[in-house]
Amino acid sequence: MPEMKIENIAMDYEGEWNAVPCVDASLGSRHETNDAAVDDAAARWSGAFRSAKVYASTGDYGLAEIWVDGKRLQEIDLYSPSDRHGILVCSIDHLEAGFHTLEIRKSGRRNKRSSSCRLNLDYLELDFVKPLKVSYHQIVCVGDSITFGANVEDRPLGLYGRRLQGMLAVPVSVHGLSGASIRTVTSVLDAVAAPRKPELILWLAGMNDESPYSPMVQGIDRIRELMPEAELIVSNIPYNTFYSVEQNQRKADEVMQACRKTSVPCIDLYGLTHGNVRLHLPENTVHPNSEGHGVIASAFYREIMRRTYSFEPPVAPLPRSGR
Amino acid sequence: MMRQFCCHPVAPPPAHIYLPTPGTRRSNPMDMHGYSRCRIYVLRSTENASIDLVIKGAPNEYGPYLQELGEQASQCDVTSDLSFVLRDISRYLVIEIPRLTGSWTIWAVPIHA
Repeated sequence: MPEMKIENIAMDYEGEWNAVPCVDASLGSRHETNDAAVDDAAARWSGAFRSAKVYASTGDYGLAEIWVDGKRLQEIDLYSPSDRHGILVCSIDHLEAGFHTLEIRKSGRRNKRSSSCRLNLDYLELDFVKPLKVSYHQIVCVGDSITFGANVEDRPLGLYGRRLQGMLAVPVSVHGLSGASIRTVTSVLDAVAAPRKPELILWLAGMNDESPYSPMVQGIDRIRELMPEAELIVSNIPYNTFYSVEQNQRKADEVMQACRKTSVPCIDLYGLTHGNVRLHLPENTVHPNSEGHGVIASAFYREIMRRTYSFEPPVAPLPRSGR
Repeated sequence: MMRQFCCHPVAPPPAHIYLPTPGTRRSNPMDMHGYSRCRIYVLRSTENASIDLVIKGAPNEYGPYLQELGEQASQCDVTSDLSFVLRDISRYLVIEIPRLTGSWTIWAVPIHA
């Protein structure tokens, strides 16, 4: 099973964390807590893995606690005399291959040389294993040029569909139609999705529709008509600077509204990636690059795990700083 | 006694669709699932469009991909809708587009023996 990267923007957070731009951080940003000397924040990732590496910046930071499955494993010191980035600060090996929850908790303490108790988090590297409760035999991804991987140099390996195949150990069939509207994707579901008899369909939708609400509702209805047993998870578009803020917001909001109307789970990828301009390099239009596909795969994986293992994300909305 | 003929419905084939653009001149690998033949549809979506295409195959998803057998595996200066059958196809196919004007939709549909 593959070792894969989980970007900080794809994790769950409790307490006060902010996305801080940093040219030296993975995907151009890291998450940081406040300075307060209280244990009031935690970052969390749940999934099936057998080892984990935690990467962060070191500098004027405090002490973090690493917890696995609700048990305190160790304490790590993020202090260093000068700022250093992308540092492996914790390595956890020999976990039982299975479902775990990894937490990086703020301790509210610091060593004597540091002036701050704040934490930061850059990314994780996890050695994924097959989640035993995931019983799918076939997953199908449908969508537009984002799903196709128009800006992904290492196609097909870098596609979010292929990454999910590695993370879940389930065959994933990828069908991205460049430039296609939701109606066009809907019109081919009978030919590309239904014959594969998927138990789960992932649909990243909305980039090529000015007003996606109605076509999305119709598309979801069509899936239910063609594949009544299949589960469906939808995602709205990732952040981009190609369309105006208003256009993007409408595309993102209307896909979510259509999902609410039809009781389909929807990932707010637009909110998750908001402000991140590194996702689309070098093309710099609407298509996430290979790292961006890593974020999309993480977001779908997280939703699949939530549905399978019945855990909930933090209730409190997270503070988010734009760039 | 009249003989009863039973016609079992055949499962629909798992089709692939590729919409080439100037930025995506190579399709993703298309899994033909061991079918020996497939029909390729090259459908023009805009006026005054033309396209060249080459169909390549490989035994696994990551290749290397070699041009499929038969004259039809390479098509030049296509300007209108076109459909043809490839035989003895590889497990995985990719479609490459050396030249493209206008919009096209390309289907690759496995055919039952």
